[in-house]
Amino acid sequence: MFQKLSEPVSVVTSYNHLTHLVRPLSLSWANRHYPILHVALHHTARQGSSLQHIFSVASNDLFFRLKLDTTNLRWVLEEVSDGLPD
Amino acid sequence: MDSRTSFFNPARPLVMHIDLNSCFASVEQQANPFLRNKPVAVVHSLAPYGCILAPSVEAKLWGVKTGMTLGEGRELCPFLLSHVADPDKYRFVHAQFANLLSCYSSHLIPKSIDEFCLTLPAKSDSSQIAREIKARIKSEIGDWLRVSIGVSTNQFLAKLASDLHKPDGFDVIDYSNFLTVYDQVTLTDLCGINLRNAARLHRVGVFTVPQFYHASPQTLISAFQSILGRSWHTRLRGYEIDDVQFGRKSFGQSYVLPRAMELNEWRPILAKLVTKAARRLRANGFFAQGLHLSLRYADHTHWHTGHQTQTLLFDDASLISLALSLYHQLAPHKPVKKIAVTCFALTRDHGQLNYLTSSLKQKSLVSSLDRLNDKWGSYTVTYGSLLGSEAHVGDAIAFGK
Repeated sequence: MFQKLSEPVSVVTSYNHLTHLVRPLSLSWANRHYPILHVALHHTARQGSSLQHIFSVASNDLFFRLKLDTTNLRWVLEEVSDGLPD
Repeated sequence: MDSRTSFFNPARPLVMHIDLNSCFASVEQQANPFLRNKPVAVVHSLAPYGCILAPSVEAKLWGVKTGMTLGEGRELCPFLLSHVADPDKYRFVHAQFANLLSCYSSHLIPKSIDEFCLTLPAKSDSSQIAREIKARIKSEIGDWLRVSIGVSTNQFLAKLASDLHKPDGFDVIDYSNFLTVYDQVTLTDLCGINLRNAARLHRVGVFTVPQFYHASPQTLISAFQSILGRSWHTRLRGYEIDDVQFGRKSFGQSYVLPRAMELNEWRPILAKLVTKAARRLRANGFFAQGLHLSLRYADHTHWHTGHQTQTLLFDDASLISLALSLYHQLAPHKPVKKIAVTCFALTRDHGQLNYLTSSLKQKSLVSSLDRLNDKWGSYTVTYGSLLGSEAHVGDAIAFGK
């Protein structure tokens, strides 16, 4: 299953002032709560002059692509996948 | 050192070539852990004709290769997972690689989005550095990313060494083992020797890499009909001739249409290609005085022409208009399958203004439009001639963006 989305999502994050790392800890989407077990990749991209932080994360059985728009500090869920063919 | 090896560069091997294995697919597997250990293809589009840009190591085991269509890949591997290319992600990983590797050398050359070449300082222990780089990539960039590293006395042999054992290999080619390596590889394994060049070598009796190495400069010059023969003679002896940076000569864009199209359908796509090339031209501080247009038709014929002008071209409208006039005046009018445009005859924009005052206004307008698009995103403000091109000519995977 692979789904492209553009849905607002609630994300709990932590910030470590020693490593300067922001880490998403869990997300709530479609009335379900998903603890994030693995932050596999964090990269940035620009849309015009707006900087976007993109976190590729995994829960127990799902992959999520989360985007943090730095102009408004809003999180958007962009992809969900379980790594299996459709 | 015997007489057979005495012509090989005896210097310590300090040129390192690093190749990120199955780059785009590995980065996707890094981002999504559920894709790991599975056959994955990074594709241009999810349609069956979508071109496979990079198969994962697992997909390669099924025979899936770069350049195949997704449909062909699925015939070989029915479980093939496809993922549309995400250029921003690959550029970001490329930048992280560059940042990490710059710790080891001040002479770092990005060869492509997934390949780097660096010259290590004298007295470096290349195998120790290679181990350290591999470990740091896993801990600092991504635990799924694997690189093949080759070390030799020149860039060409360092690349050959990096190709010997994939994935995750490390090999050194120097005066002590080069003949053994040459025995193991074929002519077309050498970067720069394609089937045509191999045929040229066959004509002068060179069929193997050891024969290539032992051939005289005169034989190789006669094979290649150019001074390139001498370059190969030097390269195969481990001396550096490729450590040169070539200046920018052109800015081009090309696009394969999803189906054969008539002019009214592909005209907006041509305008978008010209706009993209012109944007890069201006961003790099150049004017163009020439435009080249190339078309491949649905009946597999090909047409191209170039035109040079006295005026300095830099704005989208002038370049689009020139491209269309070249087509209308000279090209056969048939359904088109591929379009390529190139701005050439470049001159630097030193701020020298044209004698026509309208040029100053035009330049100011174009700069303002570029700033708007920088701030709000590409194609926020565009010419009407691009209408209808929205679904075409996406972001390409260029590492110099």
